[in-house]
Amino acid sequence: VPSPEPTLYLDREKAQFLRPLGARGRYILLAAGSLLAAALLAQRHFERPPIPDRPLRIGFEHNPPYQFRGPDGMPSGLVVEIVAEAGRRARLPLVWTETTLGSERALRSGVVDLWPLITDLPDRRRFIHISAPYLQNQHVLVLPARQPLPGPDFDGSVAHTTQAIHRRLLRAQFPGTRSLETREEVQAIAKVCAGEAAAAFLESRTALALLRKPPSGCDAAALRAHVLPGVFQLGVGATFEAAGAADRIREQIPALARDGTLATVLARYSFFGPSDTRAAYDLLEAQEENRRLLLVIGGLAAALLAASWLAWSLRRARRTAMAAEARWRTLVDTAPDLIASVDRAGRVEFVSGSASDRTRALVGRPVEELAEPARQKELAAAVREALRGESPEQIEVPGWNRSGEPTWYAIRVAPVVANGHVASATLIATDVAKRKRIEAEREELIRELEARNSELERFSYTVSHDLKSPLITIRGYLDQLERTLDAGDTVRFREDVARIAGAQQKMARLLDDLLQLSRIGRIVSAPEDVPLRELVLEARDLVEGRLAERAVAVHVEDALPVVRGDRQRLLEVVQNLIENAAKFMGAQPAPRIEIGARSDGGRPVFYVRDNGMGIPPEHHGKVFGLFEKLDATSEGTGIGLAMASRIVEAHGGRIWAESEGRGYGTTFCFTLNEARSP
Amino acid sequence: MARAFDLLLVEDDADHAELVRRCLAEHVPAVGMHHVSDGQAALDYLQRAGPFANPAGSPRPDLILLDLRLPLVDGLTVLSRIKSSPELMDIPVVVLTTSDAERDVARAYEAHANSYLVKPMDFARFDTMVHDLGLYWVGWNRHP
Repeated sequence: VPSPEPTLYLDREKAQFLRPLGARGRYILLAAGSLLAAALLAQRHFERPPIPDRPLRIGFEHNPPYQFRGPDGMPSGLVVEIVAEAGRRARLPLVWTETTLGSERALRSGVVDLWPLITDLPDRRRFIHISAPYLQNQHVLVLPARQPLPGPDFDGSVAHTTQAIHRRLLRAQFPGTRSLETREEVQAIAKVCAGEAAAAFLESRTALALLRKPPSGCDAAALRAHVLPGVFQLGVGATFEAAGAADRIREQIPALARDGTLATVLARYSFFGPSDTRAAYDLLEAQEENRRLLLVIGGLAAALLAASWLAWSLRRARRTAMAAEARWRTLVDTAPDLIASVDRAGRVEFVSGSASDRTRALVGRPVEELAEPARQKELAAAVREALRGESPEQIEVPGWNRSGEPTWYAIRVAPVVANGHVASATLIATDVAKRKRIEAEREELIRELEARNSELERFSYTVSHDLKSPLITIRGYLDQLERTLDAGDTVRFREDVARIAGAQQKMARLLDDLLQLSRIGRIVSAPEDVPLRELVLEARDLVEGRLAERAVAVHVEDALPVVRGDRQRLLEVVQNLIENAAKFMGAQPAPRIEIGARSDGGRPVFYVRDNGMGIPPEHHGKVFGLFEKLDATSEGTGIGLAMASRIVEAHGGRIWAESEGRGYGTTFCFTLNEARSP
Repeated sequence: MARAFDLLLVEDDADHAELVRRCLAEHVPAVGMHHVSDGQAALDYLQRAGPFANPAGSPRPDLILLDLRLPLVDGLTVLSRIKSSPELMDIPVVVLTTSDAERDVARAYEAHANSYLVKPMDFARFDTMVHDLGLYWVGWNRHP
């Protein structure tokens, strides 16, 4: 029978990670974590700061071509047009407000809510909001072609516009220079051409445009542009209150790029050709696409990582569980006891390897079938008790051992409690056949000893009593002899002498019998095959005198089997039974003894039947008792039948009396083991 | 003595019975002695059953001398039958036996024996004992 598939129920919990959660709990945790992360991402992505519910003042200054008041008095310029269009599309009520405070100060002081284009410097973000960039800026130094490139210690005069950011950026790179502020950038270039300034600090896009169309009096070939390190991102600026509006405006710009609006505007201000602009914004899009892609890849990588962690954990858990299972199974299989696990329905889930095929076949069967049918109820009750969470007492029931032989089990059943409820029950059955046998043997021995002891007691008691009796008689009548002699009563004298002789004889007989009795219990000769008819005839011859005295006819059946036993002892049995029958013939005028065998349930029963006095049924058992006499006047000592009984029992047989009562005769029956071959 | 004193001797040993009879005849001749040799006969005598049906031949005894080792029904059984019978329980029962076993003495008294005597081995003492027994139970003792 193949061993049943290992079932993981011993150490499963111990072997797993995130133990207290259980498998379902862990999946829920994982799913909840992912959902939370997704929600956080979504929130970041979709969260829109509120927009004040009023017209928004958007500042601009004189900074052509980006922003300036046009000849018609309307705000105009590159970024003004872009932002105005984007604001229109985002349905924001923008009110253009010109200021000379500069972008940062205008926003910080709250004079305006928005600014169309502002350089994204990290320190600015502490005070104002800047949207994602939609333009980039680089700066250049424009200087005479023959002049060497300035180092950080450059200390010449540099022309730049009045914009605060320009001064700030210039100072950051060349702290030692002097500023020559001009209203517009074209004048800054003019100052270099005129030799009034060593260099001009310009925004690169503007510088490129100006060098293409230099102001009058300037030879572009005599100038060179030196690109300064650092690329600056520019977005829509806003107060924190109006941050949402800035982001909303910025969101519209990719659409402006796609539909060509942006390119048209840029072209109008002679910055780049439409295709350049399209390419720039395609690039911008591609960058955003890349960022999104990166996010997806990162997410996938994280998911992959999580999945492999899960797989690895599961594999490790399985390995640990398998190891625990193997350890546990070896432990259970090595135990000499029979160990079984019982499910809540009382059926065997598992049974240890030391169990027999017979018990192994119990898997899936009600556990009480382990015990003999008559004792199954007891076992079932103990298992039920354990499944209720109680601890039943150990019980001992008969069952079968691994070789299928009947045996005894001491069985303990205990509940297996997991997570506060009874999951199953464990049964441990110890084979106690040996102990049971020893117990039975001991009890048998005690019984035998007790019987021997009481017999001995009775024996010594009777001996003292029965031996004393004739002594009293002898002594008493000796004394009487003297008196009768004095009185000259010769009749009584003879009578008393006879009494004395009788008492002496009685004593002698008693002593003889006692001697004989002391010999039984020991089988003197080795058992042999004894032809029973031969034995009976010999016994008859031994008591011939007594038989003749009472003219007893003896009939012995011809066909008597051969029995096995101690010949001498068996002879004593038959002799005693014949003697006993002859002794108690009573007033029977035609005394007769029949000796034969009859079959009783296939086993031969030997009998010695007489037609004498008979025995009342209530005394049938008593006649075999030591020194037990039914008739006070008989000359017997009460030993003969007791002896016969003991000899028969020592040979593994049984002896009993059958009689219908006084006057009906008696039949003594006994059984013996037959010789193996006739 | 206003009336005859009847004594029932329950004794399986005929020789012993004869000795008792002789001693009694010598010391307390007025006693009418009735002898039975087994326990069943004793019960039959007292209950006027079987061969003892005629009250003239088996008068109610004034004293019972009872041996313990008896065929058929043993002395202790006879004693407890007497002492548990409302008609017989007031008859004094003197146990007269060869046994001096402590257990027999105890069991006899447990069964309400009125006295327990051990037959002496020496005849002179046996004789004295029967004499004293007559003197006490026939002469001095009063019972209903």
